[in-house]
Amino acid sequence: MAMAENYRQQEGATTAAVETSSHLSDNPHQNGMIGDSNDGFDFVSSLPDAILHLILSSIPTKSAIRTSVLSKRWRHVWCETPSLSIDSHRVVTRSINKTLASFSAPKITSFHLRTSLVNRIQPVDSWIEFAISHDAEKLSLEFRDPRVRDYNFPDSFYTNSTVKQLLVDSGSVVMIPRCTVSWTSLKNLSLSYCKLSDESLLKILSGCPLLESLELLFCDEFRCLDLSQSPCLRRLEMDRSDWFLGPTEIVAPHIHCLRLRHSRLPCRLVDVSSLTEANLNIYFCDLGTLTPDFLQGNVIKMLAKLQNVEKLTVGATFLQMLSLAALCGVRFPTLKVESLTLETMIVRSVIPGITKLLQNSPGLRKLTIHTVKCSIISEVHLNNYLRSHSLNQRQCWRSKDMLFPGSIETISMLVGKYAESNLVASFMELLLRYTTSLEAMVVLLVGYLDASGFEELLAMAATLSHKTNVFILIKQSHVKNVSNTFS
Amino acid sequence: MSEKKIVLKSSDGKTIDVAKAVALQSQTITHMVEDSCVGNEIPFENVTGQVLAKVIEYCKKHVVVDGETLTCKTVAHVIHTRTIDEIRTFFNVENDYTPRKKQ
Repeated sequence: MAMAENYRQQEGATTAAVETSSHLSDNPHQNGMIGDSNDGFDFVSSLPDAILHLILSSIPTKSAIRTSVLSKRWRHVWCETPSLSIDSHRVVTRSINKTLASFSAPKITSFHLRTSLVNRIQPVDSWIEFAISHDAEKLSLEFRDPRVRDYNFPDSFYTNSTVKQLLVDSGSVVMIPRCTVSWTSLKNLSLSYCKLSDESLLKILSGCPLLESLELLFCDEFRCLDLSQSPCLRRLEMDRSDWFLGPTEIVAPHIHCLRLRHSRLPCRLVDVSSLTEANLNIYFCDLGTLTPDFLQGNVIKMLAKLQNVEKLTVGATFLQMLSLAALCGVRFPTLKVESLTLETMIVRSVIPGITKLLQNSPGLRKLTIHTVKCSIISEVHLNNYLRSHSLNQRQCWRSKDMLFPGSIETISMLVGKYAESNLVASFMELLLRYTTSLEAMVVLLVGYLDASGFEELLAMAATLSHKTNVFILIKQSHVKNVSNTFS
Repeated sequence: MSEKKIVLKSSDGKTIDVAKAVALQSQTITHMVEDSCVGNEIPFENVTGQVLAKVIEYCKKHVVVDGETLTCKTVAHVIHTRTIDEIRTFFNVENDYTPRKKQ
C-alpha cells in the first residue's frame, strides 16, 4: 500500500518532495479478473485465437500443450500457435518428435530450442530443419554443452532466407559454414560462446547484408572484427574475458551504438567514427599481471576513441581503472558527452575516476547514477598497484575539492537495495556541493527497506535543497524488477 | 468524459500539457486532481516552470504497464504454473469433453 506522502515546502522556489508508490500487483484476484465477482464467466476462453496465441507464445510449449485438455475450445489452440519453445533437458527426444508431428500452424514466428547435443546430433538437425521449413522468423538455439565440439550445422541452416533474428549459444561448438552463407533477411545476430575463425566470420558477415545488430558474447578465435562491409549495422555488443579472448581490433565505421565489456587484453577501436552511444566496462581476474602501460593503452586510449559519443555509460571496474589513471597522473581526453550514466556501487575507489570524468566533460547536461550490485576490484589490489607506482594510498583516496562542469542540469540516481544509505547520502552531497547550474535531482529508491536510512536521506535532502536551491525529488518504489534502462 | 490530458500550471504562469496516465505517476498530482482541480488545471504555487518540466520528463519514463499487457502476462503465468484443474477453477473454464474423448 502507498505511504502517506511527506511534502515539505521551503521558501522561495525550492522544494524537496517525497513520494511513495506501489505498482499494480500481479494477483488476478486484486485486478478483478476472476473469482466470485465474475459470476462464473469464463473470459479467457472467450478471448480471440490471436490473443490466446500471444499468451501461449510466452510460455514453454510443454505448458502450452496441456491447455488442449481444458475444454473443446482449447483443443487446437496450442498447435496453431506459431511459436515453439522446447527445453530438451527436461523432455525426451520421442516426445519432442511427437509434439512437432502434432503441430499444425503453417508458419513459425519464433522457434526456441535448448538442448544438449550429446547423443542427439541426428534429431537436432531435423528439429532445426523443421523450424526452417516453417519459415521461422526468429530462431534461437542454445547448446551450452562443452562436451560436444564437432557438431556442424546443416547446410540449410546457413542458406535461410526467412530468418530475421538468430541466436546461437553454442557451448564451444565450432561454427564453420561449409557452403556460402545466405541470410538475406537477417537483421539481428547473436552468437555466444562460439568458436569462429576470421574466415568463418567473414563468410557470415558477407551473407547478411541487412544486418542491423550484432552480438558476439564470449566468442573466440577471430582476431579482427571488420564491419566496414556491413553498411546497415548500427549496433554492436561484445563481451570478452580472459578465457574468451576475442578480437584485438575492431573496425566499425557505421555503428552508432557500442556495448563493450572487455578484458585486460588489448583491443584497439580502429574506426568507430559514427558512434553516438557507448556502454563500457571491464572484466578482471586480478591486477597483478597488468602490463605497465595498461592504463594508458587499454583504458585511456579507449576513452579517447569515444570522445565524440553523446551518450556514455560506464561500469564500476572501468571507473576504478579511471581512478587509478587519475591518481597516477595519466592525462584524460576531453569528452563531448552530454549524457553520462554510471552503473556502479558507491564505493570510495570509484570517486577519483568519476571526478576526473566529470571534470573532462565540459558539455555534460545530464548525469545518471545507477547503483547496481556488481563485481569490483578490492581496494587491497588497487593499493598494491598504487604502491608499485610509489603513490601513498591513504592520501590518494581522501576526497579533494573539485569543480564540476557548470552545465549539468539534472542528476538522477537509481538506488537499489545494495547501497548503504550513508554512502548514498554523502555522494549526493558531494555532487550537490560542486555543481553550479543544477536545477533538479531525482532519486529513485528501489526496494529500499532501511527505514531509518530513508528518513536520514529525506532530512538531508531537505536541508541540501534549501541550501542549494535545487529541486530534489525522492521517490520510493516497491517494484521488484526495475529495468536497467533508467535513463 | 474521456479527457486524457491534464494541465499543470507553475508558479511563474507557465502551463504544461500532460497525459493523465503520466501525471498520475505522481502521488502529489493524483491528490491534487482529487482535491482542487479547476477544470483540468492544477496549480503549483511553489514550483517554477523549468523545474516542473524536468519532473514531468522524469514521470514520462515511468508510466505503468497498460492493462492489456498485464492481462496477457498474468494469464500466461497462471497457465504455466498451475495444474489443469486449478486453471479450470481460476478461469471458470467448463470441461465439455465427454469421458471418451478426454486425453
